[in-house]
Amino acid sequence: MVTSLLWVLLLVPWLSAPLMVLLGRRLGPRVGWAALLAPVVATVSAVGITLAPQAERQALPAYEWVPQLGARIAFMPDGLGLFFALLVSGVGVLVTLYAAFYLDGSYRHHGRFYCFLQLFMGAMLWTVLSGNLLVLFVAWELTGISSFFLIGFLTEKELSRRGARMALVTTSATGLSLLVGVVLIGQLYGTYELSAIFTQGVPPGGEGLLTAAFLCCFGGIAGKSALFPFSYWLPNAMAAPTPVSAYLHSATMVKLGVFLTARMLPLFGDLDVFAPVVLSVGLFTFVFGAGLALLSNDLKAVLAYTTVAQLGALVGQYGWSPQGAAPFGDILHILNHTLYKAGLFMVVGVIDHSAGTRDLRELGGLFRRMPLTGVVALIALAAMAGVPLTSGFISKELLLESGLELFHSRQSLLGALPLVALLLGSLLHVLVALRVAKRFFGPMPEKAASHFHAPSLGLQFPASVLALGVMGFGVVPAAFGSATGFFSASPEVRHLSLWHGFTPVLLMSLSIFALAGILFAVGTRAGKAPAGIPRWLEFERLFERGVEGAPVFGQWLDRVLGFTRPSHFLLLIVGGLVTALAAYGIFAWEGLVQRISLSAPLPEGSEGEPWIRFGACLLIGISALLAVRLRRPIPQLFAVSAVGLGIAFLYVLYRAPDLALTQLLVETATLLMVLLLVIRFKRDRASEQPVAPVSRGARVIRFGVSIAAGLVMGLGVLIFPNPGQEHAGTYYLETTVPLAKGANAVNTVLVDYRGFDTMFEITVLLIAALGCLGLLARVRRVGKPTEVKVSVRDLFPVPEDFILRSVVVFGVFPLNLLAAFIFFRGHNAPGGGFIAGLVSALSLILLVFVSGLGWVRSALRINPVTLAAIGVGLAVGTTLLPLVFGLPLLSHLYVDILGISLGTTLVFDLGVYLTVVGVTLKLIYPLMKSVHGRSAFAPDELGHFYAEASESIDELESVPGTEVPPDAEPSPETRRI
Amino acid sequence: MSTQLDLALLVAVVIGVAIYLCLSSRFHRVLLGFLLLSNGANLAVLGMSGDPSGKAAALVADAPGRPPVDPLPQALILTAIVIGFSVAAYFTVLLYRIYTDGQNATLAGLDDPGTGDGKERAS
Repeated sequence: MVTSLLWVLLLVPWLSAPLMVLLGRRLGPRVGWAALLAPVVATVSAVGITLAPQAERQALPAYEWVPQLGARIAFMPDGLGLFFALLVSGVGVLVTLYAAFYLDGSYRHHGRFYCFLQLFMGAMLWTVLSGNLLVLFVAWELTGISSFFLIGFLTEKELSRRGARMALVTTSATGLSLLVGVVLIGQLYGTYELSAIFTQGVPPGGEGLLTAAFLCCFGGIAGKSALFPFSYWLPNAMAAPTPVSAYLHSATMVKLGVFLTARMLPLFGDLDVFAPVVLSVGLFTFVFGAGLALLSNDLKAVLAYTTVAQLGALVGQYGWSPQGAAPFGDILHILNHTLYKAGLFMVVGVIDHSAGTRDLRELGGLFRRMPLTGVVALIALAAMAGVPLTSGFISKELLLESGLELFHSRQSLLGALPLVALLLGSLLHVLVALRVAKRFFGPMPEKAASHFHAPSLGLQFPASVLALGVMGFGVVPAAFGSATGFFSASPEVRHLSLWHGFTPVLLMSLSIFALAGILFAVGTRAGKAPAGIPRWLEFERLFERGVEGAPVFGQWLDRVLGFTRPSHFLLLIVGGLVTALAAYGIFAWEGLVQRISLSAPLPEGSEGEPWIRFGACLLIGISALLAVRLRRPIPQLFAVSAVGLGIAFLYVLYRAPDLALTQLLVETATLLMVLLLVIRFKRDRASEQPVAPVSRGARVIRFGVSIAAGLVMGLGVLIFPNPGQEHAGTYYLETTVPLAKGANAVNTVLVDYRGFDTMFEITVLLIAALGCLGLLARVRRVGKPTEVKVSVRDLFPVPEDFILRSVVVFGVFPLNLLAAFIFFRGHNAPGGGFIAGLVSALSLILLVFVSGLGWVRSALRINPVTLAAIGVGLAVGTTLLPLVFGLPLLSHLYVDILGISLGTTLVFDLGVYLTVVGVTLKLIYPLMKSVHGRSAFAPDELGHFYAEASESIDELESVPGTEVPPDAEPSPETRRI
Repeated sequence: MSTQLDLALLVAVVIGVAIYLCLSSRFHRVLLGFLLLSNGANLAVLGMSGDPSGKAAALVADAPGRPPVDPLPQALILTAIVIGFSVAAYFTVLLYRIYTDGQNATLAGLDDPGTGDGKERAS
């Protein structure tokens, strides 16, 4: 029963999250009501687990996740975990309700918002309920990632993007520290299971390692809970919509640090360093945060800094725990803070919504305008100040009591420090509360009054529920004590009541109120608003500088070096490499010379073949030299292409038919692609643009480096072959038929032995295609359009030649049959998916040449990118399939049908085929259009790729179906680039 | 005398020409240089399978009695050709994009502040 409830609790938010995106498209802002279901179900199941008998909660099954690492999905629904689970799901209900009112039609992407919110909720629940440290860590990081998306939800705002980046970098960097701590614990105890770790004592001699683990974990805790010195990210995260601030940044996520401190208390509580570190960092943060809160003017920043302060106190309280046991009232403090701070955040959202500003200096007279929110806010502020009859009072009394006890037990000046910090922090809190409360009275400034509209009742409702809680627990402290005591691991049981008589703690409270009142009165008399936070306390500026350090360093280096052209770097790199290799060559000269002379003289049975090869090399070399010599771009391109085709012939001589086929086709595709670019340049006369004159010295250096690089590589060819060594290829050749069921060793190496390479290779292909899409989609047009008087016929016309047309149209089918033939014979003879893919793609491109892009596009129906994605999916799927059968990755499965071995290699090759076809088409299409100076995308595709701010690539011609130049030749004047 | 001397000379020429073209300041010459460079590198890897004279292809039962060539460099080159093709495609489109951004097909245009880094130039 408990197990199934747990699964419901942990999975419902994650299952519901993707639905939100789908529903959001239909429902818009109303999706918030649908989003309520998941937190309500989660809350009900959390309550169900809490009510279940203790014994049933302890005997829970665990599931293996990554057994090699020790990661098991185990649960630990003890008091602490359940309390947090209730907190996360319960506050989740209220926040979702609040968001349903808050995120009105003026926001966009509602579905996405609730999706992230519920992903976050799921991650939180996994974190607090996990019984395995590794799973806990993964979920911990997931909360950070989902909070990144929530903080940056308003992507168009600079502040929100910066805040999100800051939060992500800070919490994930400190998260790495936590990971180190977790791994250290795992190494020390040999397990990541919390229950096993807690029952074991510290291994002998392990104290040092445990201390290191604690310090690392505390780094993670401090980062997540925004303790000093990481407190800067929390106020910046306030750029998020207010429901997020209320949920993540006051009620739940930032409390993970507190949670982890409590969770690891049995492990770390006994360490000597534990109390000093936790107390000093925690209580210093308490005072520091409260001080900054007093200095801030933005209401949300004020709340953020008081949250920082409270988190400090919540973590710090574990410092005076008696030797590894939880201190009395730990859960009580957490609940108190959640109730009033989440309420206050919601109130701020209401104020922001109604008055249009959150600046304390521009607010006033709020109480009269919105009495319900006013009452709620005053109750919550009273709790923050620790006024009697609120839960805050009980919490503060308990804190002061513990501080006093610590002072009595230590009897030294050092023991008094926590007490002093608590008193000072409480005083500052009262001042902050007074300052905010004042804004609810008096006259309302003009600006806010003009914008003001009354908030809806629904928006004010969730905060009222929280305020009721604050009051209820404040009036009946006994219920507060027992309700939280149920979840606490503290062995101490105390009866809480409102009136204890005149205790020293009460006197302290009273004097704090009196002193705060006097200070506030004096401050108001002086009439000066705080000047904001001084610059030296703005740690976020240090952070920003650190993050921007790399580009700043790059710019500095660029300035210092004074290189004006990127090719200078290339010169430097190539020159350096050549020098290093040459130095090595001189050093190891004797051994290398031996290598060269090892090459055998002409072997038997080669009948004049070396002479053919020599001739081929000569021709290729001449073409290469021509590529430098020729001045005009198109002949130059043909020279380069001749090199490529010559190399294809050389591959034949080197007994590499697969290579020759591939090279031939790739060379054709490349030629087409580059030709399109070069023609475009030629059309605009860009290839004749003047370049800066090069000095004689620079020319000599360029020449020298090129020759040296060529010589080094050429020498390498003589040295690399090492016939004396055993080659991996021999093994492949021997086993290709028995193991890989294919006679073509090159093909089996590709799809079977080294299938991983191929899988990633086609992934690279897809990534390159996607990168090209990105480059083509967002072009800003700069510069004036130049008019070029070139006739359309020179530009890449659709030929009207009847013979060409008929040859191509009738050739497409046989060509694709040939592709199929090449595809199927690949495993045993030269061929395969890649070559077949290129044949198909080129045949389609031919078709585009004669019948136009629009026709082919509509005839094909399927988007080339979809095709490529399916291809990569097939390849990856075939790679992963063997895992289902418990075999290693990429072990192909074979079926014998009619004596022919058919295997999953065929599916893998099909993936390669589809990817190649899709990518090639996608790359060539836009370039073909661009030659005509037309938009690289059809108008119906624009929506997917165009950002609002960017302009079209080239001239955007909005008439669909005119990608192909019409037969009638337009007058040259009308064509602009 | 080594029987792969011809290939070595060819690699030297191709790589030398490639580097020379890459150091040019015109876009299309840099692109052509890049194409030659990947071809030259493939040839250098090919040289590792040794002199092919008198050997059979890496197909089982291609020509019994003659030793087959090493299939591994061939497989590596096959992967390299594909990756070279994708990078060349990306490079082509990148140059095209830089060109349409700044109407400039030489490296000199990259020096002007405000172009090439995505920021719009005041026109």
